[in-house]
Amino acid sequence: MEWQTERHIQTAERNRAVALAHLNTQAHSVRPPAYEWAAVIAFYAAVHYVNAYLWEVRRYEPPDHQSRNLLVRGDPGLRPCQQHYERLLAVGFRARYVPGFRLLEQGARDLVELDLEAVRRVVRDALGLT
Amino acid sequence: MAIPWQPEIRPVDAHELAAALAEMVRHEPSVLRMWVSSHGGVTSLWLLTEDMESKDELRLYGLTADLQDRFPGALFHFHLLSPQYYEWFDLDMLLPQGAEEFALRAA
Repeated sequence: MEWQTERHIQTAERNRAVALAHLNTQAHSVRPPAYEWAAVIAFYAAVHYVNAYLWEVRRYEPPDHQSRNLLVRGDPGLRPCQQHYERLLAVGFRARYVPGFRLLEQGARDLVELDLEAVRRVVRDALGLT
Repeated sequence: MAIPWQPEIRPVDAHELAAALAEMVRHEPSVLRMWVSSHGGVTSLWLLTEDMESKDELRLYGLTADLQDRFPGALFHFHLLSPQYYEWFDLDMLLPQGAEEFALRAA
């Protein structure tokens, strides 16, 4: 595996750990709990999983979100997790930019435990990581 | 073995994209209204929906891959607007200036 790929995987795993920690602790420190920030963290974990895949398979580092979106939607290897990535992208965007956007705990858990896990599983399987 | 490849970006008319998405969601009872906007060559598509279960949301997000298949290289954002996620649900604030409503169904 290329060293660039490994570094993206390491960063993705670290961000995933932060997202899980946020779900379990950080979100409770403000009222109402800021579960929507789990979406932001989870999205940036997903970005690194996708970048790891793209570097290993295509030697391509997307310069922006739009270029990455084209590949997530179009690459057969990423297609199985496309809808999950798309939701992370959209919800992460709203959590960052839209006033009043909120997630309840279950919605945040869906993003981290369902959507991010789908992206992680697809990429790790494609790269031969167990 | 790496496959050298880069995405090819192809401009597309925002209303063509909107029409294709409208056709895809025409029979989705949870989808209520639709808007389209464009900025810097990127189209944004907005669907106002009823509150939905997680699996139904995911199915709608999956439509973006079908839309990309029909318009390879087209740059677009896809947004679901569902009141359940907002402390204040105000379409005037959520939609960008200049967003046009796109008819989903014949009057």
